[in-house]
Amino acid sequence: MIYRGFSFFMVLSFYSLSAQIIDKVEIKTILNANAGYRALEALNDSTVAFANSNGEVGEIALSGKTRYYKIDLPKDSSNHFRAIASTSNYLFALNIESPARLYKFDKQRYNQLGKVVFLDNNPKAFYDAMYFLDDKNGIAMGDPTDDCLTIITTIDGGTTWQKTDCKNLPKIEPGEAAFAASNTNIASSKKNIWIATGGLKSRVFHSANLGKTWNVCVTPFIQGKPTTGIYSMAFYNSKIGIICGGDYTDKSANLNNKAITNNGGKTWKIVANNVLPGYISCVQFVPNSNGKSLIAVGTEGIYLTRNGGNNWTEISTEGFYSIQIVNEHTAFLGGQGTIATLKF
Amino acid sequence: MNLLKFSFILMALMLCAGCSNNGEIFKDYNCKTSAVQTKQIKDAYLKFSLEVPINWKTELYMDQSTSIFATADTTKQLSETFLIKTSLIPGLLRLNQATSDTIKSELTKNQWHINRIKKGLFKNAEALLITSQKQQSNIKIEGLHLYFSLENEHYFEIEIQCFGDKNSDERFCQAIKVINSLIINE
Repeated sequence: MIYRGFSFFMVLSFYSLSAQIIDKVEIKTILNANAGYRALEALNDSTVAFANSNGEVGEIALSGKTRYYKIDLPKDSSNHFRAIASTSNYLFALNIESPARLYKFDKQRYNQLGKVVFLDNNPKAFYDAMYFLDDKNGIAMGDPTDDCLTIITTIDGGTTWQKTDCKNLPKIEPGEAAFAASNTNIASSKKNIWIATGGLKSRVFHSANLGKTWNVCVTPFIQGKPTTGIYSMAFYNSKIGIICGGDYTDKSANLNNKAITNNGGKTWKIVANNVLPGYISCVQFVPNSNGKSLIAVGTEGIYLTRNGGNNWTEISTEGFYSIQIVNEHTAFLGGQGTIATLKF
Repeated sequence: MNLLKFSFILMALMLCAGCSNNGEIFKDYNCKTSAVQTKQIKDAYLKFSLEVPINWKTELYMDQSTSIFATADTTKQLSETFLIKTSLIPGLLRLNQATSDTIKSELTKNQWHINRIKKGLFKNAEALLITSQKQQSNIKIEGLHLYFSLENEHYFEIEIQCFGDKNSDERFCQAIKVINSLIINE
């Protein structure tokens, strides 16, 4: 059943049978613009912050009401944002290419110019994701520029950032990097931080002490090509987690592209092998679902599981880059030229 | 004076010959691309380099013998971009009929349907250029595969994959510009 109405948005609604649970799904576009929206950060039940491929940073409510933060965009960059994070009072956005600039915005003063709090001039700099564990501790990660992943951390709420020395990080494997698909290469629970990689190797890096020390574990995930690997990761708690991805250039390929852990990432088990979904750019847990319900999105559609990733149902064929689930029935979706809401 | 004039003409002719041989094999594409800011990136073994637009993502791989340089403009959607994979592989590659048949067979195995095979010059070396296409996950991919040998018993295998058919000629031209920037270190 498809509804079309209102001048600026489309409502798509239908029913799907999933693991004997009937899900009503409604997708409503709340923003149309000529930009890519991969970096979304839920601020509360009704608002999501975004940073887009045109250098715009803002917030949008379920109603579509939008406000933009003030930013002075430098001319030496395309200002393509793919990473975003927030604390109670501040919002942070980080662009992908070199020079990489990490901006800090005051949420209460969106007319105040965003301040660059970290600059990386390394020509190889390519940051993929950013995350705040609490109001003080934050982390951003990027592709290797040396023989380790690029990791920067803050312990003062994002005022200052420090690059982690390669001697304190596991060595990167040849051809191992990360994908800036949806700002979800980093996940956290309590003092644990996990980082997912892809390319020639798909591994999961883990720190149990807020990023002070790291180890890395291998996964049975698809790997071996520049475009294969883990594109997104989510943890429900310090034990239950999921990694998803595949091959960006082969969207229907679904071999070894979804895996779960029940021991905090020590081991990973492939699930739903050789069945849909194929390529996934973002996966998130539904809150209060006991780690059983997840929604994954990719450019080919939206997928729901009610049993921890073992079986998935395609709930829409509309493609998106990223999802932020704000409660048991609502999510924001970011795509090419659009931000939408999902009711499920 | 005449000798000097002759030297100038000879030098100009040599330079022109060098220019045309640089990417002669691509002359059918008749490319005119706009200037973009680039950065020079060397492969993992420092055997070659390419000039890549500054906002492209590059991944370098190597094993004990082969060096692979993969680059793409990942700021764009898949249907608006392309991948370039440049591999420097040890071994002799004689561009004869048997080699051509082997390459065609390998490409066919990888689901490529071959459109055209052409011989020409690239970087003053005899080169083989194959154009192809395939369908993968409901998206058309156009391929361009270039092979040429070096004197030091290594050869290059360069592959451009162009996804979707929107502005594919323009995207191939951008990719060819990157490939033409190849500098091989002796």
